[in-house]
Amino acid sequence: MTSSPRIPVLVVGGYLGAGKTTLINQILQSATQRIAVVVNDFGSVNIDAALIAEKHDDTIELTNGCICCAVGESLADVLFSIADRPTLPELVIIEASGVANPASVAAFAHIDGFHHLGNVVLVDALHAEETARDSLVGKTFLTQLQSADLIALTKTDAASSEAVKSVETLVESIAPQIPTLQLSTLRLADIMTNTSVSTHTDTDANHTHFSTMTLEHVGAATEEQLRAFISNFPTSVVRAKGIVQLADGTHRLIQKVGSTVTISETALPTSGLVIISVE
Amino acid sequence: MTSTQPPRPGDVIYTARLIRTANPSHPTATAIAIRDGKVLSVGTLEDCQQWGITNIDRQFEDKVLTAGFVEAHSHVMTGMYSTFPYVGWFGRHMPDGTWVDAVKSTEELVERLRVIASSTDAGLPIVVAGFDPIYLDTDRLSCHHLDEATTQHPIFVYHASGHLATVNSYVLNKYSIGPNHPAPGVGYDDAGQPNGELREPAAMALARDEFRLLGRVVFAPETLHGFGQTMRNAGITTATDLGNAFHANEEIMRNVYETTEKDSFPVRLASVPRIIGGPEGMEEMLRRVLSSRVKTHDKMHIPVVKMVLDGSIQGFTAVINWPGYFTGEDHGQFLFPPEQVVDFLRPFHEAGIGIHCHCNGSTTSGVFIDAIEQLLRDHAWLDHRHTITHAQLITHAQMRKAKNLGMSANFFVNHVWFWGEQHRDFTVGPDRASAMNPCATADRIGLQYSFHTDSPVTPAGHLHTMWAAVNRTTPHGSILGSNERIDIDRAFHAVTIDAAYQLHMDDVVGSLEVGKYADMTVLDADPYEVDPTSIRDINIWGTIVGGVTSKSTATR
Repeated sequence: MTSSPRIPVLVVGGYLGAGKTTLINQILQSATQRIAVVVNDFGSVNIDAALIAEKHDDTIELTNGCICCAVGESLADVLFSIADRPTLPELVIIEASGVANPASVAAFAHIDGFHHLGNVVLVDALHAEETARDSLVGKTFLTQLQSADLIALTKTDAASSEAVKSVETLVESIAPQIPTLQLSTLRLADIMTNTSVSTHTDTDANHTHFSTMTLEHVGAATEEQLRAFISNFPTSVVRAKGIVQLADGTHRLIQKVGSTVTISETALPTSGLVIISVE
Repeated sequence: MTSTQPPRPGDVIYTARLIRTANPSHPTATAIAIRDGKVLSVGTLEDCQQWGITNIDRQFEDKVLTAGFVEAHSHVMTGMYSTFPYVGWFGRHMPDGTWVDAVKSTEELVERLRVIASSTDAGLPIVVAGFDPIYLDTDRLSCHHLDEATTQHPIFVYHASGHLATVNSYVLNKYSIGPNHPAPGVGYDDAGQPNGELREPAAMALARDEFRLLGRVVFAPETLHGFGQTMRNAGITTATDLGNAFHANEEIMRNVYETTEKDSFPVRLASVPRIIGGPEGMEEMLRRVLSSRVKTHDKMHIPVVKMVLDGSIQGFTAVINWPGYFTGEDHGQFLFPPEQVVDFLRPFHEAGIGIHCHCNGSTTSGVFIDAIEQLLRDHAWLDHRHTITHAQLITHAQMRKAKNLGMSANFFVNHVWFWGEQHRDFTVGPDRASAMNPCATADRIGLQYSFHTDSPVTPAGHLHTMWAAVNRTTPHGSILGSNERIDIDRAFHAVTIDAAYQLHMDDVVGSLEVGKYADMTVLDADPYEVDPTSIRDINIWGTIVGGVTSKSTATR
């Protein structure tokens, strides 16, 4: 049995131009914890030279303890080598390519030493409608949104409020169950890198309240108690996911999407319970 | 007349029953003179003797020599069977030439594994490959079957499709793979217990150590060596590893240079780097490709680069035009954003490096052709030969455009045999299945083309691709697309000079012409003379590469 703590993995997806690289750069520049970022496009990451401690063919080590790795031929290999490092990161963020299905990328986040925190899909508010209609990549765009745990509209400050509203309607029609919010890149970076602290709340200009929280210990002795506990969450909790231990030592995988709660037995170790709420 | 040049040590004349040169101005001969590993003269023995050569080797007097077969799309992973035992449904030659009988039932697989386990220290992994359950009528392979072979070793059975692995309970326990595992791709039995199936690489990677062995084997010297042996045994004289990451690591690159240069490596290698990452990384990749080229030699070339644009038709991941898939769900997946393809390719195009782009679907063929049109508008290069590889569902309009742009196609014509019935009945339906790999239409349009095996996806060897293109028969005896059949002369050129053309190597390989490498395939019979339905059954004696004979080690 593997008992060492598993490193949480966040996947950042979204079509070309949605702002993934900007977000990744922001996270690397301002990180307060050790983050390993796996990027699809090594060449586009533009890290402040003063922050770079060491540069290898496929890895950049930063002075703040973060590392940036190129995905190369195999995502599994990158994760294996991250797990082999003498100092483990506290969080792994994987940038999916502009046409990748984030769910396919996230499928790798369950390998030994890691657990999947969620998929954040960025949507370019200026071009979303055009992309959704595109005869070549319209379907790719839909698939990306539908595999999100959280959708973040970007470039909203450059779009008219009518345009933003229209994109929100579009996103709602494609992915009705997925929490969607507008945030500046800076704030999104802040939230994403603080998912493992106890609580964190942020508010954007349109007064949408968004928060994530990780419960390290859930005080439920039986599955019945656990189900009652999850079902009593306020309606603002749109998503909950994680693995907790019961009194008899067995583990349960919890998935809450909207009002649907699924609880199943698993052999995996405890990961804590991540809760996303929007008001 | 006699040449005034003095003979040199090593000069040799081979005589043969027949030599097929793939040179239309002089298509057949009975003798070939070789100097410095190159063709000095090809014609009659008398023609050759005018160079003053007295060393006449008559060992091939009853054989047929052809211009060496060129494989423009295969993979070094072909050599993985040097490391991992083969357990497939069809009997197969291993790289060292030994014959491995078919595994026709789950029980036979278990027995093979038991034998391997008995000579393997407890705890060490047992990885086997090539398992193909499509044809098995016994129970679906599960961890319970594998547990009968051993409970003391992790077992990892890698299936021929590359999309599935089956592991034993030792592996499930080692990585805590239990009920309701969060990873998609873990298979369960009716009681909700994992059954040992791990679907797609993401789930296979749960078996970390065993999966890593598989991932690393591509860089192992034995694998490259095994690739060379397999190709020689299949009669190939120039073999392409289409799409690798060798150039990213100097130590690996050094091994490739050194291994291929040895006399024991029996084939000329075209090593083709694969485009990965983002467009901003392309200038750096170009720099590495160009600097890697400096150290290449006669038996190792870096002629072109490769991009992969979509998945496979049988996996429903190829991106195809309206009306989409015949049955099954459309999982069409671009591997690069279509609008960025031009940006990725531009540095290579402008540097004069050919591009082979994997396009199984009709949509992706169109995207690639449009990208090349844009590149040509921006930067003229009349001799680019950019190649659509697979091109299986290319449309006639796309072929006309590709032809006008100076492009080329490398058809996966073996599909007609290996998956043609599945394409007709399940993936694309009868209309498009019979028009797949449309060689005759390409000829009518004037689009240049070659064939490939994509080995190890289908077994290496061009007798089979020629046979498939000439006959287009399926395993149950249908003919799929009779109007797309071509004659043997056309097929022979497709696997020799036309494949060399796509690799920008037609000045050195692909036909027997004075000054080119003396590369030949040695056959027991003439593909032009045998019944067209038995082209694939011709025995391969071996090859001659740069004048050096190399006998097949195949033992059956």
